[in-house]
Amino acid sequence: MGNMLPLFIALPLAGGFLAALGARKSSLAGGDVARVMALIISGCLLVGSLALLGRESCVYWIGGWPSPDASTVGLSLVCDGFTQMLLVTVNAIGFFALLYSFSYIQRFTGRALYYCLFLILLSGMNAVVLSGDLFNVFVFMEVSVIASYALVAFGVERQELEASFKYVILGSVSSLFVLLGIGLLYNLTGQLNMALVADRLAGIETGPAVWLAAGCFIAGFGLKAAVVPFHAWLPDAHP
Amino acid sequence: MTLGALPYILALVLMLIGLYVVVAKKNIIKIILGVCILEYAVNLFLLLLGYRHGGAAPIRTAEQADTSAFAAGAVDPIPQALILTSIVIGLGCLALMVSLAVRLHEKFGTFDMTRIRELKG
Amino acid sequence: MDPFMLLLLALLAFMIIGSLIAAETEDLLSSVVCVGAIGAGLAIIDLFLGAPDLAITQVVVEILCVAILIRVVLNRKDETHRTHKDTFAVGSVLLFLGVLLVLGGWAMTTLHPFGEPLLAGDQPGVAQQYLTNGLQDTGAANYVMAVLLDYRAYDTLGEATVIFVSIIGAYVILRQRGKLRHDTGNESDS
Repeated sequence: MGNMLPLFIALPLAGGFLAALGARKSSLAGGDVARVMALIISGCLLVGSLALLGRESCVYWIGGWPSPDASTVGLSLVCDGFTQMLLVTVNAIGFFALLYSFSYIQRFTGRALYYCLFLILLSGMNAVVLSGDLFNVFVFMEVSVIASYALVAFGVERQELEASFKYVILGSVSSLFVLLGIGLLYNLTGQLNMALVADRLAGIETGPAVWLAAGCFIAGFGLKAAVVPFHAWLPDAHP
Repeated sequence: MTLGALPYILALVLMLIGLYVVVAKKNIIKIILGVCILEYAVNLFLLLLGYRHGGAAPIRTAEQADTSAFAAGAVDPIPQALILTSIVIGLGCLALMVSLAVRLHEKFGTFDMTRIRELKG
Repeated sequence: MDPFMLLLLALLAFMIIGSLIAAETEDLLSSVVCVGAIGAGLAIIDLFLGAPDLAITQVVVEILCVAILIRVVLNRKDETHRTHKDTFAVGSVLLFLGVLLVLGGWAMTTLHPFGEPLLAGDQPGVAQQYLTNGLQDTGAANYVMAVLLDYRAYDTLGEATVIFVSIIGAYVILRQRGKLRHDTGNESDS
């Protein structure tokens, strides 16, 4: 069961890399091939995430590093109940957004690049949802967020560029807040694996440093998710 | 040593200067530089977290045959690996920001954010 | 206080002064150069804190950043110099940052102090395992590379993807024309 998990990341990633190959061809052929590929991959991911629903939790160790006596050296993908729900949400929204965008994207140039960015965005979000490691969340959050900066500016008109610039600045600052929070937690616990961090945090008293890390995470992820005090960039970027 | 937290606090000051540049300045290039300063400061903070007094670089040479002695004397390799990744990510972000700045200057003829204001947000 | 600590603090002060000059100078080119100096200072600190790989990467990336930024600033006219003095806004930002400094500084005094990370002890961190088993597990003498390219190679895949995406993103943003002239007109990529 757990062996299926890497496909949620690898499949759209490979699709994105392949779709970029179509960029230099005449836009019609490259765009159409990329579109069909994106549709197939996104559909597969939606079906796969639905098939995962209701299974028991599983962990996939990337690179096959063993985890003797609960001390983990490698990175892990974790699939528990909440992850299953989020996977279905992400992939369903991705699939239907892709269906909607077929006609919308017709008026732009460089459509193969659109599908490339879209698939990598999907891959990054799946990786964030599945990841069991704090820093890995940061890396793949950056993957998806950089793809979305480019997608916001896709039309390269005045307003789109302005919206994208605001989004890039806020997004970079919030990413660095998240990184700061990860550093604080690493100093306090000596671990990066989420389960072990939670385990170690339970063993130490909740001092101001833990609150600072929590504040960094709330500010960082809140800016990214446009939670209410940090929502100013959202209407511009997604008109 | 009583100043155990002083380097951290100086890194925090650097972060806040970067944040100040991002928030208070109106020039696109200045804002990008502010993000750069913030990124340096966070990388610096991670690096400071990994150091241990008298620590050597975590690179084994042929003379260091004793693993436990080496492990007791080397600095923490994890923050360095994290910083290497985050430097490269920062470079990617910078490339994107700079290309946006170039296009904005092309369209609006200025780097002044107060005059690039077609949106309300 | 030992000379090592003094040197470190001096370099940190250099970086802070550099960033203040970069923040307040009117000329964009000098501002860019100041940020380059901050990066150079960071590279020297990397060397002192036992991170030679990092120092090399930092210098290379730094040169790249400064070259890109100088290329952007040169030959582009910019008349932002009459800064819009909004004392109230700047004052409130400074007040907010001051509160952050006090709270953050207070929180950082409760971290494991500088030079004594959580490497050994009754609950050793994962780094100690890397340092102990790294050579047997990966065969790499450089433990940073062992972590980067072996234990956490999946992160490095993400890093490479970030580079790929940002190149594609810059290519998308620098296209001359985003929209087709007519929705059904003849199509050509720029």
